[in-house]
Amino acid sequence: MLYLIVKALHVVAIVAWTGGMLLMALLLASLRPTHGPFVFPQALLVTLRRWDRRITTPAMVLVWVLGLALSLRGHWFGAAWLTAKLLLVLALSALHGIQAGTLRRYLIADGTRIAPSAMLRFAPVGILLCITAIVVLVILKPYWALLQQ
Amino acid sequence: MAYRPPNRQNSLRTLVKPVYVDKGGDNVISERHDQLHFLRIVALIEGSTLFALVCIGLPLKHLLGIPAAVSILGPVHGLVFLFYLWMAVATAVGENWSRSKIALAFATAMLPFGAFVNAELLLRKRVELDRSCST
Repeated sequence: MLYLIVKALHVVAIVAWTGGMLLMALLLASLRPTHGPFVFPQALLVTLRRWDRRITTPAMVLVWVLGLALSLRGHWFGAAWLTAKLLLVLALSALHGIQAGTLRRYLIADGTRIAPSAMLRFAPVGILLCITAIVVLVILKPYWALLQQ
Repeated sequence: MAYRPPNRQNSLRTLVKPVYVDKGGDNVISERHDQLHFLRIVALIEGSTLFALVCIGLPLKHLLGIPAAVSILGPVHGLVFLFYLWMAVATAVGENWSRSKIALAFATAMLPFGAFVNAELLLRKRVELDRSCST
């Protein structure tokens, strides 16, 4: 029962984390340098920064903590699917760090146009692909399922 | 109200709480100050957990045959280490750090006692930021 409760909380934390990341990815993609006039949505950026600090980042930490607890309790460490999943989670965490830093850079620049990392343009699609791969790995457990047969 | 830099930079108070005065008048400075402050705190926690793991957990496990300390400290250090790397990435992108600074922040986290050197460097950065704002 405890395992299922932790699993449920883990899924809720994932939804909050990836939802916040997608929101931030779309806003940052819309701010990328173009030749037209630069409109600086300060109120939106401040709200998003606050959301990131209060919800998205704590949700990410909760995902790590609960994920670690589930892996230890379920004796999953060493399974190939989990190793692959951990690499994807690390990639998502790094992307979230870049997003949070870029958001801060926009706020520090205070209306001045900056040149953020070009990869942020593809962040929304990258996040969706990572989530898809993670869900497939967790549900199907490739190699692990084959070994059990 | 104008921003006032801290006057007691090496006291215990700076470790526990940033001592800048104005929170509302100069949000950008507060934001940059806070980020360096929290990164330093996380670096110190990361260094302490690594120190405990190397100096307490490993001798207990390999000399006395008690693996409990490593099985507790190991995951805790792993999580704090991960969070430190995440904060370092966010700070490096936000402050537009050079590659050498980023490499130093990452390398010090991987060496025992390196985090304490890094904490001192972060404190200097924070003091520089305070000075540049006061002039």
